[in-house]
Amino acid sequence: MPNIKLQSSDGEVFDVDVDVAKQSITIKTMLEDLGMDEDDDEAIPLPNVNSAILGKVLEWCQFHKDDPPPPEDEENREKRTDDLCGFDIDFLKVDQGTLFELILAANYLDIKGLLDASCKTVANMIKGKTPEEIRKTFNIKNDFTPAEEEQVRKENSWCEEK
Amino acid sequence: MRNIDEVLSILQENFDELSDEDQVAVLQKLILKCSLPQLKTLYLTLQPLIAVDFSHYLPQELISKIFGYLSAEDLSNVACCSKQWRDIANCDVLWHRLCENKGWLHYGTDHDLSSERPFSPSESSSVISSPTFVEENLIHFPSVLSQTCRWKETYIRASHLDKNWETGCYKVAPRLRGHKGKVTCLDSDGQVIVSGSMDSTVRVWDIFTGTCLHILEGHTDSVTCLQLLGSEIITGCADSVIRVYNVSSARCLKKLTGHEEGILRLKCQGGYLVTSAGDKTLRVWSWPSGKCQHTLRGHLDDIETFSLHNGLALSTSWDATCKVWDLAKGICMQTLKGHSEVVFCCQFDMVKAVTGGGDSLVKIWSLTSGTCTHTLEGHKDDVYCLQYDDDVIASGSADSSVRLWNHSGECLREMLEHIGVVRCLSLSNGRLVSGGDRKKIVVWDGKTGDLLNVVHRNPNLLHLMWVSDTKLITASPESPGVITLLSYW
Repeated sequence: MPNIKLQSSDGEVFDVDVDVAKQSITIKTMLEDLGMDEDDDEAIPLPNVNSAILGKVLEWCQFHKDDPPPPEDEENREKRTDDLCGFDIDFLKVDQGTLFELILAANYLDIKGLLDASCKTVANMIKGKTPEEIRKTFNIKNDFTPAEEEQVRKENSWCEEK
Repeated sequence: MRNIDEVLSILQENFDELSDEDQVAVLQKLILKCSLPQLKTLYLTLQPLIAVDFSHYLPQELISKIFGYLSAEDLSNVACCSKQWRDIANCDVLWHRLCENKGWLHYGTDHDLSSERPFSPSESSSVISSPTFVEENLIHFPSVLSQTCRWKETYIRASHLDKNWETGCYKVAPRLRGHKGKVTCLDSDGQVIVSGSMDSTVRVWDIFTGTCLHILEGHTDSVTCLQLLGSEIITGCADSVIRVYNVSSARCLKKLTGHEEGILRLKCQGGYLVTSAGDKTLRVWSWPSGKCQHTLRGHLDDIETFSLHNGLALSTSWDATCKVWDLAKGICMQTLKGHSEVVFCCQFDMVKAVTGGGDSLVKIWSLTSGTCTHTLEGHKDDVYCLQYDDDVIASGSADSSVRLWNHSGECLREMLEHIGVVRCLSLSNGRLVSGGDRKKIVVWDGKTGDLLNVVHRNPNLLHLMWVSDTKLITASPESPGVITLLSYW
């Protein structure tokens, strides 16, 4: 299998199977647009991803390299979050800083499968929680005045009435 | 023994002097010395410290993507967390999608609930429980907080309305009295109600106050059918004349003659007015000119009912057949043979028809071949009413049951709540309402058939029903006739 080189923001170079790297639409496009040869020795610079995150991303891509292409989002469908595969669930059991960096990297590298899985993981951390529990989970500072908080509680009280 | 303050200050001083790497090494050593309870305390202390308020960290489009996986309830909880979280969660794109999933988009466009006139019948009557929506809960300008976004408002109002139907929260107007004979037909456009009677009059009522606005005179016999069409009312009469009235002036604008017996039913759609009469024919009139285009002959016995779709009519008859007619050409395209008794009810589209009959059967027909593709067995008596949507077929029968079927003809649910004949049903926006004798109107989940609410109304019998998103209108076959009006908004 031909390999290419990817360089992280902090200068580390990763030697990667082309088919693994091409799950990133950004890298795939770069290879096509720049006409980069597969046995070219020059590393592709990825200035937005550090080596720790790039390593994780490539680990994910390696595992998922034989996946069928992800289906297009069906806009007007209720979106599920309980359909993550076992590998993804374990892979995304990371601290929040890493999780959000993975989201940013998946977005920048345009890897739909990883972006979906990581966003679903965050959504699952919100689901079913009260506002106070959500604040605690994400260290959110409640900046409403008591009067504003009461107003906002009323605005969102429609779902309590059940 | 040194006290804790001294220890802390020495530790801190020494720690500060170390390099980054050495600090990490010291911490790792310390952690290894900790007991399990100490580690747990440490973990709880660390958790909030490494928790990240990602609203400051991720670009808005990615936060919206995450929020796009949340339910309306979760998204509302998110909006309570902080100003920034509320601003991102109160986003029209997210709430538009939630409305769309519920089938509530029309509440944001052509049926804006916020602009619906309040229901205020002239005299106060028994209010079971107030269905009124508390507008003050929504946040509007002027407020320090940004106002509730439009599609979230739409969602909250629609959810409130839905809950009113599910829990039986409605206001009821005093009965609409005035007709001196039985009410034979009624129609509404959500603004006014029109009713026809054996007393040879048509009455126009204000749907929000329940007051009678006009009495249309001129019929020389029972009014048998009518349709409200913009500013006009088309009526059919046992005197075999079709009349057109202006709603606001109550003046008769036009009379259409030609049928040789009393008019039984009429429907106007897409430039065609179609009427059926006791002479066993249907007539096609061009609308609005009122010129008779065709007389459709072919049924061997009385015509029971018919429906229109896209330039076609489907008529059902006591001769046990149904016929599909091309209204432009005035010819019969298909005769559907298969029922063994009168066909009471029907609905059709470009590819198929569904019919219900006195043989207790519901049948699905292919209109390309004209053959019956499925026979739905289960009802034990006459099938009086049916309606279908993309998901299900609902049928009501004299056996007191309502049944839900899928389009492959399988019975999904037999719904037993009525104790009398089920005469009318209405299926729209996933809500199924059935009306029957013995004082019961039943609200069902139109997808699952789950029973949501039973509305008990006098009088005993019920033969006409009109249902919209917010109103429920019924009439019973007694004389003099009265109309019952309920509002869920």
